[in-house]
Amino acid sequence: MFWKKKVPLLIVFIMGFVMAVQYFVPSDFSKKFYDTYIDWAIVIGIFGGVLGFFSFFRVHIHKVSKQAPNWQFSLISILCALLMIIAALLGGRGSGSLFMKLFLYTSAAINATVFSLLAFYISSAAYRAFRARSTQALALLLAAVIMMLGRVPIGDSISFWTAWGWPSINEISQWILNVPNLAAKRAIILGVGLGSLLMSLKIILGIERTYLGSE
Amino acid sequence: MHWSTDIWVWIAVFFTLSVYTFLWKDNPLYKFAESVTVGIGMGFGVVQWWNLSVVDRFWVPLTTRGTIGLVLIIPAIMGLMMVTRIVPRFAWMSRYALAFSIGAGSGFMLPRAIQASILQQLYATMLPINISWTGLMVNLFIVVGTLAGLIYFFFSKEHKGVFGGIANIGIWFLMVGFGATFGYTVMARLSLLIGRVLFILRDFLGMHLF
Amino acid sequence: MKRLTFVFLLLLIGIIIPIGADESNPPKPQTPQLMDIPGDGGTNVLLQWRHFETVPGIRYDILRSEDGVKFEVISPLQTKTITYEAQNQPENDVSELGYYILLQPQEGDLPKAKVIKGTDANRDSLIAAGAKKILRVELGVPPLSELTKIPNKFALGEFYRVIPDEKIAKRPEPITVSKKLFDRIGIKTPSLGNVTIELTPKEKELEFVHKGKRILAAGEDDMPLILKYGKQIVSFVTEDARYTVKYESMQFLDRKSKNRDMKSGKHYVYKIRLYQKDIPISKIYMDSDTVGITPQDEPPVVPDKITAFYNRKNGSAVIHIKNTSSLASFYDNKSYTIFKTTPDDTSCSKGTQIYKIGASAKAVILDNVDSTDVFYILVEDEGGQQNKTGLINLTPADLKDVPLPQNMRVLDYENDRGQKIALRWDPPTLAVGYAVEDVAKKMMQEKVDSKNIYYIPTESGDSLFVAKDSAEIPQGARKVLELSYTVPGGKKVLKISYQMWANSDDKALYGEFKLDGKVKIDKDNTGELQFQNISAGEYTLVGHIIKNNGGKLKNPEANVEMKVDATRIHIVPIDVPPYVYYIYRGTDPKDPSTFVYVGAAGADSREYIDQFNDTKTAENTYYYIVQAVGPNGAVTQSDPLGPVAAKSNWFDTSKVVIFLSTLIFIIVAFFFIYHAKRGRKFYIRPIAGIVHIDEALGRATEMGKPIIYITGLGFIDDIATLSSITILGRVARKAAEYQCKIFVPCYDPLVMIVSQETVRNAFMDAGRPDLYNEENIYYIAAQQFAYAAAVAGLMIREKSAANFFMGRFYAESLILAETGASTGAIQVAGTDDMTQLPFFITSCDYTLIGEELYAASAYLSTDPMQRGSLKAQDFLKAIEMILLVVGSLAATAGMWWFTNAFRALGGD
Repeated sequence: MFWKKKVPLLIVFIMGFVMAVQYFVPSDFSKKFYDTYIDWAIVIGIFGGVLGFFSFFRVHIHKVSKQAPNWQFSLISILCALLMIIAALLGGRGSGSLFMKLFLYTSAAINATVFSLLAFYISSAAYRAFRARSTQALALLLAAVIMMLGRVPIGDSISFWTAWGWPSINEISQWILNVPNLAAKRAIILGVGLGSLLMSLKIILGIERTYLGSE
Repeated sequence: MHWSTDIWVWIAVFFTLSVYTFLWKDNPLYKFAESVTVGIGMGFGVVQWWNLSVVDRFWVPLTTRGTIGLVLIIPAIMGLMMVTRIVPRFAWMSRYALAFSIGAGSGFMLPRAIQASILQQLYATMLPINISWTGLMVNLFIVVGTLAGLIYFFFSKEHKGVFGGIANIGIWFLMVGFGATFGYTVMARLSLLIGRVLFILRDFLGMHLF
Repeated sequence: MKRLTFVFLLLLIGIIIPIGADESNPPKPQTPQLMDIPGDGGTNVLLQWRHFETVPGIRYDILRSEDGVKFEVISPLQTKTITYEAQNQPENDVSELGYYILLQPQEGDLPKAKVIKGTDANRDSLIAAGAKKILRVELGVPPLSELTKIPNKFALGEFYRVIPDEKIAKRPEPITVSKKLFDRIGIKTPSLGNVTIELTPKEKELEFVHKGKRILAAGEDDMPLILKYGKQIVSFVTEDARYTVKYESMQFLDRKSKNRDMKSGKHYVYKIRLYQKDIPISKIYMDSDTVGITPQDEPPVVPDKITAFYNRKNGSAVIHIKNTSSLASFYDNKSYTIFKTTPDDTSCSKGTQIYKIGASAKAVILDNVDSTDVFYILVEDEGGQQNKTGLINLTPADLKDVPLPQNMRVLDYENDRGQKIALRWDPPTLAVGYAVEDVAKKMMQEKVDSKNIYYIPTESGDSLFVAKDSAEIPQGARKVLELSYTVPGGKKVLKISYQMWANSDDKALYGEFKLDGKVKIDKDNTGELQFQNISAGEYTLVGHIIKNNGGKLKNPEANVEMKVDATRIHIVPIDVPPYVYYIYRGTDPKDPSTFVYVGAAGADSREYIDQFNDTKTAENTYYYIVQAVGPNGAVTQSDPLGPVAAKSNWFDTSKVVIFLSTLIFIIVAFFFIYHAKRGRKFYIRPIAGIVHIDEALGRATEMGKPIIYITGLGFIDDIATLSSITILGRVARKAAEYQCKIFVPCYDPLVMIVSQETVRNAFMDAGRPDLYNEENIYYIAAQQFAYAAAVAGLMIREKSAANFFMGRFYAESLILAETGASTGAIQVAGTDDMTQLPFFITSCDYTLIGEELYAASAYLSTDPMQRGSLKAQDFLKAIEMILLVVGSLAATAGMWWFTNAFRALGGD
């Protein structure tokens, strides 16, 4: 009980307290301590990577062995992962190697394409937003439209009212970015910042223990 | 039009088009592309993890930095304990490594977050409200908007009466802010699509139209 | 499953182990040339070699041996990335051009390549001399299989394959000239400044182009044209061999260090190793030939630039000592001893020693000298060896006094780890420059080819002239086709650039300027300010330096008043005095030879930080001397300042505000959490999102379809992820009660493990452990779009009735939300990231914005301390709001000391 529950909480408290104090202490010892902590955190993180790889292989091998629905695609995933490992062992990781080519022309291409799907999705999201169900959604929509027009030359061209001294769409969009958008961001950062701080304190004090897992 | 002779370009185009088929509906081609990217990505991650992390950040310092390097055995042991998370019987051992990382991370962040998320934000928002364009159309709006936004996120009082009215102003500011972010991002997202289309036109079909 | 895993592992090992390396050997790397760096005490050796482009490899290693048998790697190096050439490019076939390559041997080096065009007259003699016909040129590196087909030879030369393009040559060329050229020929342009003219193509260029395709050596014709129309040749291919001529000069400095020894008089043998493959199971490399050197501890190198003045004003001599060689940093010179001697002492063997200084000294002042005195300097190195300069005569001059910095002081640098000493002086100064520019200037273009204006570039300056007929056009003149220039728009803008020459003691924050009743402050200290839309006229610009307490620095140098002429476009730069301060550090104020030069500071600085590499060295006691040096060579030297030693500080006083804020924060949090634990009930207003969560769950039950809960891309210590997992507990419990399937695809393995435990506990609490299926909470991949693609696929396949997006999201948020929306599922999202909230708001039925996510998790949690912490959050938020109002009022009233307290210039 002591080793399983109390000691980890003690470590959390000590490390949390020490790292918080370290920020205010500029001495040589403090700096060396910080550098050592960074080295240790990186090494621990390295072993944490093992969890990810193990989970991946376990999940997919399990699907294949049980012939779960779409198990064939799990098999493809496993084979692709093994292929990459073998390619790196045989041909190295340099540019032009099989390893890099496989990554660039398959995974990187697929990821870039999935990312580009955002262009289609943002259009359907914009269409959905156009159906503005409330005045607040209308405000979101109007701000978005002004922003979009303000970022292209056409915004200036259609701003006929500038002849009477009124600001152009580009200038309005710049004001929206610099004023209400900034105010909203600040409000969120100030609030979310407090939330993060409370969470850090709760972790250090041992009030928040979800990350340690169940008892 | 001049088809590419490079097999790799053909492979990339095949996968690109497979992913685009998802816009129509889910199909085996898309599932194939999805499983390939998961597998290749995982393999890439394993190899890079080994070379850039295990060798460069652990093995090389351990074997070349003398006594200072040997001390890295301790976090290595803690890291190995982290891996016991997979086995329920020994999962409690992983708590030591987690306690070290997360405890230190929280302590590290505490004063820095106060400086960056609180003090600096407050400093930047304490603006003079004088009778000028900047004072009224910029500073006043920023101060009022930030206050109203904070009131919107106040959970100890119901949004009724004057308080509710100010909270309502807050949500208006938030919505305009979100709209601005949305519009700003649209252009960036469209450029991603242009990038893929140009790849297909230029590298695959050899058409240099633009 | 275990057996399957075992089989896969065996397969993996079985494929990896029996790997045969391929038999091809790369070409041998070139043997390095060694150079013993002079005057360095025999501790530095420079290796230089050529890396020819067709010698492919991934890495060079340098190997050294003391006995010629056992070699150790002393440092790995990288080669440049190789650009492989696509095979069979038609332009590379040059056989019909008829060029020949002839190698001219050189003593001790590779042969020089000469490329000559074969004609009927010279072909036979070329062949007789051993020249080979060039069939093909290569502009890149062919694949390895091609490289090894024919023998590879190496030669030195820089050649280009030129393919002129008449279309490019005939394009008009724009250049910029001063509008004065137009004024001289009587053509008025309303331009603000320079004019861009478009000219007809150069005759020379057309001539170059008409000569057609050919191979040229560097310098054989106009180099800019060769570079414009040509590509550098990597190698020539003849019938019998490939001759590579393009190379990159590589070098490596082997020097004595902590890890490696080097002694003078000891013989070292070197070779370089080029790896073609360097992976755990297969290494392929080639070594160059070995080459040896015995570094010597030569006598010290004397400084090569010594200028000496006799200052007629005060009867002193100033000697400036400089080493201009690029290798000067290696010299192990220790001290300079200055001797006064007679003009007949040409061997510099007599004389009296008058001064001894460290060898890093840049200038020496000798008092009580005569203008006819003659000196020489004895240079001594670390090994005790000596060398002498020649006789140094004094040049009489009237050197203007250079003022020393005012109020110089040395002190331990504050708030550091004990590795810095600060040298500070006064006065803090506001240095201002400005530019008057036109607002709304327009670009104008004008076609002028009918005006017969011609442009002639000459050595003495370019000029324009108007030709009345073609006979008047001189050689080399080019016709001007079009003009483009900017015209003024009326109002002006005054752009101020300023610098605050101050040190940490002055606590200067930013500049404040007044012009024509308007005040502008540069709160972010960018060094720039603008006064827009000012009418042409004369103004007085007033500037101050504002301190961190909101007040102004009082000394006159920190307060500036200057006249600004806004009637014309012009620039007034910041005026920096032309002095430089040399800083020396020593241990004995009475012995100048203990002083070493540590750095220099310009006349625009008020502080010099002497940074040590380790605390131990910094803890010693030191003295400092400052030399102020003027542009004409005058030097003024201070008395030794000190003693001073660096000390490690235990508290960073610049972070006091952050410290106090942290304390207040902790006290408030403690108060509320303590009271919550004691049972006090805190009110939290109902959060609308929770109702929507229940509504979504109800609908999923009605439709009999599963729910998908996405915890986002955060890690387990992310506050958004932790809040998400709390809400997951509630959602999972409801799902268990309603007998709904729940999928939780995870991005991080630790999050997956914790999610599995949460869902299992929730199902058990609901009394339905039988319904729990661990396979539905699974890990996908730790890559953003692979995760997004997999989850999108899951949504479509499972046709979920409700989707929950709670946690930390990035760009993939829109893909997930839109895919879910397209399936008709009810969607509830919650994230604290401002950039993703708009997408969730447009695509989801309800979104918990920012802190509402944390509040929802606190509201749903059974732990009273969660509510206590939310209450603490609200209390602190109220403090923030009060501070904001007070701060804005203070800023409006000009009470900057209040707002500046929040500036919190902390940071590592």
